[in-house]
Amino acid sequence: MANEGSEQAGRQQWPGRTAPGLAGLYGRLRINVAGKPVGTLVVEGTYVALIPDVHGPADTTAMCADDETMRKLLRGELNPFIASMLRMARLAGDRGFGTRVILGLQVDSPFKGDSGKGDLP
Amino acid sequence: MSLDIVSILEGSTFVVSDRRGDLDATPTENHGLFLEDTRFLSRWILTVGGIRPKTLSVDEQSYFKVQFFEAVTTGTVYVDSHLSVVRRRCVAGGFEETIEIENHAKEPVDLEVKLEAGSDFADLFEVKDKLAKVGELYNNVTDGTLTLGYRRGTFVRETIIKADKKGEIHGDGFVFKVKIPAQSSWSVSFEVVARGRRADIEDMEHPRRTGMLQEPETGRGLKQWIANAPRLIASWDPLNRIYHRSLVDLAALRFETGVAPGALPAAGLPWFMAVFGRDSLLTSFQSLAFAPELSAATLRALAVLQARTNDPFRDAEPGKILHEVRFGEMTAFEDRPQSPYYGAADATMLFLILLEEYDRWTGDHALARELEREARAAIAWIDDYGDRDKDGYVEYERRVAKTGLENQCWKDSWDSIAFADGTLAPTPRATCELQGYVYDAKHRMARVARDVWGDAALAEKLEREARELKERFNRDFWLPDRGFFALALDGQKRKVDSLTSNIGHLLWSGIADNDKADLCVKHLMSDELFSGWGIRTMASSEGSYNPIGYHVGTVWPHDSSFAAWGLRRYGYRAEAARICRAILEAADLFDGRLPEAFGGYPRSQTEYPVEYPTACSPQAWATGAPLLVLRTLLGLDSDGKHMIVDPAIPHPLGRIELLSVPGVWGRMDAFGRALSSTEE
Repeated sequence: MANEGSEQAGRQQWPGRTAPGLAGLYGRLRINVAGKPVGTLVVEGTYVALIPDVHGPADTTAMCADDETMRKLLRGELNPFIASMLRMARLAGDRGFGTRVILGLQVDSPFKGDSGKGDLP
Repeated sequence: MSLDIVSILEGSTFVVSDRRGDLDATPTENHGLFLEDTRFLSRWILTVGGIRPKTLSVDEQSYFKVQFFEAVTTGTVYVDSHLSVVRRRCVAGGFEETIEIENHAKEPVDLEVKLEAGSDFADLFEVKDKLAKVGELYNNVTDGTLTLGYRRGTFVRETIIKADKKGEIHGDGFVFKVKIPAQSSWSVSFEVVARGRRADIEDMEHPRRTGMLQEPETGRGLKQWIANAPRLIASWDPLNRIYHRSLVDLAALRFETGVAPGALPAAGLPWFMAVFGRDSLLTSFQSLAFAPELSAATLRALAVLQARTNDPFRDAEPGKILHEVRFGEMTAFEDRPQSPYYGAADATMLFLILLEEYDRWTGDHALARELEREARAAIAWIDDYGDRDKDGYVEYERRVAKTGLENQCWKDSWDSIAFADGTLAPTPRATCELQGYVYDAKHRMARVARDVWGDAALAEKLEREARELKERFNRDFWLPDRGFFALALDGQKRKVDSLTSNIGHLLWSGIADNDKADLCVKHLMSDELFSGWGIRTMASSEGSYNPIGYHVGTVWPHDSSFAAWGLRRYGYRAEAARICRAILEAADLFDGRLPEAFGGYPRSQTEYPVEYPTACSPQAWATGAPLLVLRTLLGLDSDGKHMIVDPAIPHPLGRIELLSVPGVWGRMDAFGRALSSTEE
């Protein structure tokens, strides 16, 4: 599913934000915190939305050790290599897509100003 | 690297031992079990009855498994040994080892079999810079398992060792009291698993499993890898062996990053089983005619990891291709910047060069389309960031002096960029080959822009820029009084006037005007640069020359292979053939496996190339050198539709047949035989 892109689906259902670093990427990144799924990042090119879906399909799962790691990921402050070395986060599934999303969010992440979990409840 | 070591590896896991199979790491012996740039086992010593068995032979069955045949000697040559030992080891994620002791005597024997185990959990940079560990080492024994551990805060690395036989387990190893009946044997198997975890949270992953003495998964097995490569039939027999060795070593160096499909070539053993942009790109280029899938994997992985942001600590700028990725402790704690580090001024251009070469060789335009965004970002990096002072040349200077690389070209040792009198050139440094790569990259990407992306405007812009760069370069870098191109422009825009092998890369790139190329060829083939075994990195006439200086006098086989390819490009067939022959004859004397570098002593002085003391072996682009040499000898190229064969083979090499060469044409055979015009 990653990078194949159905441009419309996510855009019509969820309030999205603009993430310039994700240009050209299409797919879904599930986020787990301490072993539990907490949401899904829907990426449709430069459009990105964080939705509370924990059951739908996903290309990649980012397994975060704690809330702070997830917040860093969303704000574009997470170095995926260091997170992996320190065992704070790891990717399962399409790791290429997951790495591109995490690195892409480092470029003007739309979640940068968020205090908590983005659009999650 | 010492010749009395035995290395087996799989992916990023490898074991380096002595010829007994023992690991006994010291500051000068890089023995160990290595994974993720960490030494998980530094001591692994077998004694039988208090004696370290004597090696009879070593059977290196494959790059991932080995057998050691040994005897427990009696201390005198006049009495046969009645105890033999066979150690079988297979690496993958950790390793497995079976020790079998056979009693050939007619009486039973009582023995104490001891295996000492220990780990220093050294990080590459700690070994390199002789640094002490920050955290603490520990060990514990539970449920028949010995755990060797290292803890620094929540950062934990452990080596878990289990035996399949009951024995005493101590913090420093295993002891078995055994009775072996007459003409019988006893054996024990160990499983050694390396793992990383956090101390404060539940493990997010299972410890890695080992390979159960079966061929590990690397995308495809060694037999299949060899079968898929072109078949070589050479009348000069050593070439067949060199070719086979290169293919096997290249297979061993395949490294899966996980961020893109396929495996790319890692840089080398023992401390360089990691992704290096420059090394993977150049090795992929060398092996394109033999294993094009390496190029695709390299390009895809480096595209994923292309820099997005401006990060001085990592010398990163948007669009730049990485230099190095590491996973050890010092990288994890940001004592070092390799997460990833982008301090390579050439990798971005080499990425573009390989992308075009792959596209033209394979006809797989889908990859150039898939990576269009990354390629455009790389093109933009050249002028936006690579040319730091907007003087029309790419130059480099590290942004963090404590941790950045001083030299960010392939000759990355501290003393490599010096004037003819030996004075170091101040930074920023615009080395000449970087400008050649820019010229070549823009020239090549113009074709991709026009033919694949349908962007004629970009193609015209790149062609114009390449043309202007060539004109500018031939004016600004030329040393008319010495008749070659300056090694670099230094921080004060002075020409660094040393004669070096870098001019060979200018021929590869095509940036040299024909009349100037002719003079460069004369220098490349002179006694000062051509040692008889290859091109010296620095001419023997220069102030910094040292025949065993890493980048100031040694011969690097990959460097010579690109120079030879460049000579062919400019039509110097006999000169190219002479260098190719020299490299292959050196390879023959290194038992088929070229080291990273060897001494620059003249061939007239020694019948054997002199080893460089700390050279990596196998090392990726040294492994690739015979492959590019073969391509050069046969004059293999692609016009995007057909395979071009234009052989120029020196007489001693006779006839070369390369069968089933993959490319846009499917599979085709190439033949060549020596003609009098290519005699030396």
